[in-house]
Amino acid sequence: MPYTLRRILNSILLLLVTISFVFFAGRMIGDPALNMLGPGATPAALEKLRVVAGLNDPLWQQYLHYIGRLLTGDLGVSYRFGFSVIPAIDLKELGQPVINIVLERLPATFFLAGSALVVAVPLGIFMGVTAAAHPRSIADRIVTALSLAGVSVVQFWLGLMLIVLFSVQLGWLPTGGYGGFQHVILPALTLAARPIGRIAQVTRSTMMDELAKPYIITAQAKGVQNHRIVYHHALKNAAIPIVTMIGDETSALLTGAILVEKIFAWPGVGLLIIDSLSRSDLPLIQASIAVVAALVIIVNLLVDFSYRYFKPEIILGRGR
Amino acid sequence: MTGYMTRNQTIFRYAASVAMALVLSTQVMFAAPMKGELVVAVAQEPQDLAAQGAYKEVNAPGLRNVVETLIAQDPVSGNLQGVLATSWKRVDSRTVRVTIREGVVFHDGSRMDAAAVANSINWVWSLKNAFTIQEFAGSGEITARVIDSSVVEVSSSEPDPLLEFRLSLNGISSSKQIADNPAEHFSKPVGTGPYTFGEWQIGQYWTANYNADWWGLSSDDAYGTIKPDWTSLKFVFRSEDSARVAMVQSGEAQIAMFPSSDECDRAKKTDGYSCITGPSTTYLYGRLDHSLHADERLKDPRIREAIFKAIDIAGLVDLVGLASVPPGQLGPKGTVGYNPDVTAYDYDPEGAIALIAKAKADGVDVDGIKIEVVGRSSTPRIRPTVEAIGAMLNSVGIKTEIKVQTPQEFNPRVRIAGYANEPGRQMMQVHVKGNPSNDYGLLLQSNYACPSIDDPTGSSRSSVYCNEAFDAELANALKSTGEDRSAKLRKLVQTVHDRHLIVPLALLDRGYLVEDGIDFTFGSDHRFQAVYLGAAQ
Repeated sequence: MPYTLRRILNSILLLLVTISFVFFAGRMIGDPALNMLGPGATPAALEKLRVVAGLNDPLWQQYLHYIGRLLTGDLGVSYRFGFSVIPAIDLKELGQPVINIVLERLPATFFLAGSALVVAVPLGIFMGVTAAAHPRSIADRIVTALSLAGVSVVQFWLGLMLIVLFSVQLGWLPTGGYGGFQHVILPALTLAARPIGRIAQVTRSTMMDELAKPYIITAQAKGVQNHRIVYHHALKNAAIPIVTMIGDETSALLTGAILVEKIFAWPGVGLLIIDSLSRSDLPLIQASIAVVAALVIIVNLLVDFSYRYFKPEIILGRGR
Repeated sequence: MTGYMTRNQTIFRYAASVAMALVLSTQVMFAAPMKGELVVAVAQEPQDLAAQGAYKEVNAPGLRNVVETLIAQDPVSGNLQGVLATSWKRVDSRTVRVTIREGVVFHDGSRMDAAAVANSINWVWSLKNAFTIQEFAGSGEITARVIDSSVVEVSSSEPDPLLEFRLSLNGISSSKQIADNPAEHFSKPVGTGPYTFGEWQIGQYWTANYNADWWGLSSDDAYGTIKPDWTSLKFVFRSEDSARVAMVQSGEAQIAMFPSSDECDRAKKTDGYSCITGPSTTYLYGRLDHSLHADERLKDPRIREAIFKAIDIAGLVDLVGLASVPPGQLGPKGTVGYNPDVTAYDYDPEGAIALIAKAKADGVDVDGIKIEVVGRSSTPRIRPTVEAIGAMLNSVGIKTEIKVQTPQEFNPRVRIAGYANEPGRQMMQVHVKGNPSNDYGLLLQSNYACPSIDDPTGSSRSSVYCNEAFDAELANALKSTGEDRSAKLRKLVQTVHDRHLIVPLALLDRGYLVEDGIDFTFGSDHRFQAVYLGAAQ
C-alpha cells in the first residue's frame, strides 16, 4: 500500500479513536441529560431531552447513530439554552447544529494561531540560526536565555503582564476581545512565546550540527558567502527537525490557544470548548474536540508529506 | 535548482494560507466603542437572555434594561414599586389583581396589554416549562387571567404572601415573539424597557440601544433616579478578574464587575476610577449534616455546638475579604422573620473542647468523627476558607478532610437526590445562598424543612434537617401574613439557630470599579440598570 494512502488511513483511524473516546468519556461522567440540564431540571425536562437526544437508547446504538451522523457531517445539536428547556417546543428548534457553531469560531482560532506562527517561525529560525552561526557569542547567550524563557514562561502570567504593560500603562493596545488587527497582537505574542523558544532551540542545535559538517568547510574554502552557506545550504539540510517542530507547535497552537483565548476573551474554538464544558453541552464538547483533533491530525499529516520537499531522496515508508 | 523551486513553492503556499486565514478572519470585525456607550465588563456570559432571567442579574447582567417587570424592588428603599403595573391589590391569600400601564408597546411594535401580560406570566411560570425562575422563587405555579384590557388577575396555586415579590422577578416579554418565533425568545429579548436589544456576539458581549420611544420618558411615575443618558450599553464578558479590572484601568470599560478586595484597596490610591461596594443578599455558610442520611453522632447537640464554637467567624470574614460578619441567621435586618435576639455564634474554642470532652465522657466516639469540609470551586476564595475551617476544627480535636469540588461534583451532593446515596455522611458543605425576598419563608423551607424525595421539588432541595414538629410549624407560618407571619418565622429562626444546623460565615459584599464621573446606584440585588446609572451631576 502506498505510504500516502497508509498515512491517510492511519490518520482517519486515529481520528475515529479520538472521537470515540470523547463520546464514551462524555457518557461515563454521569447522566448526560442531568449534566446538560443541571440538578434543578424537572423530570419532564430530563425525559424530554433524553428522548430527543436518543439518550434512552442502548449505548452501542447511540454510538452507531453518532458515527453514522458524523459521516454525513451532522455532529448533533447544541442545547445552549438547555437550562430553559421547554417541552412544548421541539428542542431541535431551540438548538443550533454544533458544526455551524464550531465553524463560526474556526476563523478566529486560525487568525490567532496564524498570527502567532507568522511571528514565531521567522523569529525562532532567525534566533536559532544567529546563535548557531556565532556559538558562545553574546548573541548565542541572549538567544539561549530568551528561548529558555519563552519555553518556560506561564502563558497566563505573560498574557496578564502584556495587558498591564501595553493596555494599562502605555494604552497602545486593547485588553482583549476580537475587533481587528490591533486586538490580535497581545494574544498572538502570548501564544507565540513558547514556539519562538522551541523553534529557536531546535534550529540552533540542528544548525550547529550542520555547520560542523565537511561540506560546509568545503563551501567556506571555496569562498561561498557566509550567509549563503548558512541560509541556502545548511538551513535547507537542517530543515526536517525544524519543520517537524513547526508542525508540532502548530498543533500546540490550535490546542494551546484555550488559555490565551480565555485571558483575552478571544472567541475561538478554545473559548468555545471552555464555554461548552462549563455548560456541560455534550454535543458541542464532542464537536469542538473532534474538529480540533481533525485539524491536529491534518497538520501532522502535512508535516509528514512535506519531508519529501526538503529531502527528495527520502522515500518515506520504504523498507518496512 | 529543482530543490529551490520546491522550497519556494512550499513557502509561497504557507504564506498564502496564512494570509488567507488573516483575510477571512478580519472580515468578522466589530465596531469600536463609540462616545455615549456605557461599557460594563461583566464576570460571565448569560446562559440565555430569556425574559425569565430578569431575576438573576448576576447571571444575566443588564437584561432589565430591555425587559421590564410588572413590579420592581427600589434599589434604595427596598420597597416594591410599579413598573409595568400602575397599581396592584390583594384579592385573597393566593391572588393579586394588577392594573397594567396603558399605552406601552413592546420593541417589536406589539401592544403591552393585559392579554400580553397574562401570556407572558403563564409562559414563564407554567410547570410544563422548566424555567429556572421556578426553582429560584419557590414552589407554586403562578397563572394569570385577563379581567379587562388593562387588568390581570394573578394567582398562585398555593397561599402565597410573597406573590407580589415573585412578580418582581419575571420579565414581561412580547407574546408575538413567543408565538411567532419562540427560539428567538432565548437569544433576542423583546421587552418594553428603555433599551432595545442590539446584538449578542457569543463569547464576546451583548449590546442594547437607546429606545427613544420608551414609555418612561414621558411618564411622571417612571422608576429610576435619572432618565437613561447612554446611547447604547455594552456588556462585555471577561471571566478573568484581572482582565475586567484592566479594562477599566485602560479606559475600555467604565465599570468592572466584582474586583478582588486587593483591587479595591489599590483603587483608593489611583486617580480616574474608584471602587464602590455594597452588601448583597448572599451569605457564605456552613451546613453540617444532621438527621437526613447523616452519621448518628452528628445528632448529638454537644458535638454540633462544639463544631460551631470552634469556628472563628470574624477571622473568616477577614480571609474572604469584601464581606462582613453576618448575624446568626441567613437574612439581614428588615427581613420578615428576622430575629434580633439571634446573633452570630460565639467563637469559643475552649468551650468547644469542654463540650467534646463531656460527650466523650458520656461514651460518644468522638475520635471516630471526621468532618468532610467541602466547598464548591466556583465560590470565591473557597480553598483558603475550607482549609481555615478545617484547621479550626482540628484545633479543638475534630478530625477533618478538606475538599474543593467542581459544581458537577458538588451540586448533586447538596441536594437530597444526591446525598440520599451517601448514608452515614459527615459533611459540612461550605456554600453560598442568596435571600433576596426579604422574607424567611422560602429560605426556611428550602434550607431547613425535611424534603421528601417524592415531592416534585423535594429531590432538588438542600435541607439536611428532618423534624416533623418544625415542618408543621413552618407550614403554618407560610400560610400566615403580616405580624402573625413575622412572629412565627422569628420563632423558627430561633429554633434553627439553637439546633446548630447552619453557621452563617460571612455576608458577602459585592464591589465594582467605576470610572470617575459615573453615579451608580444599586441595591442588594446589584442590577445594572441605566435608569440608576448615569453621569455624575
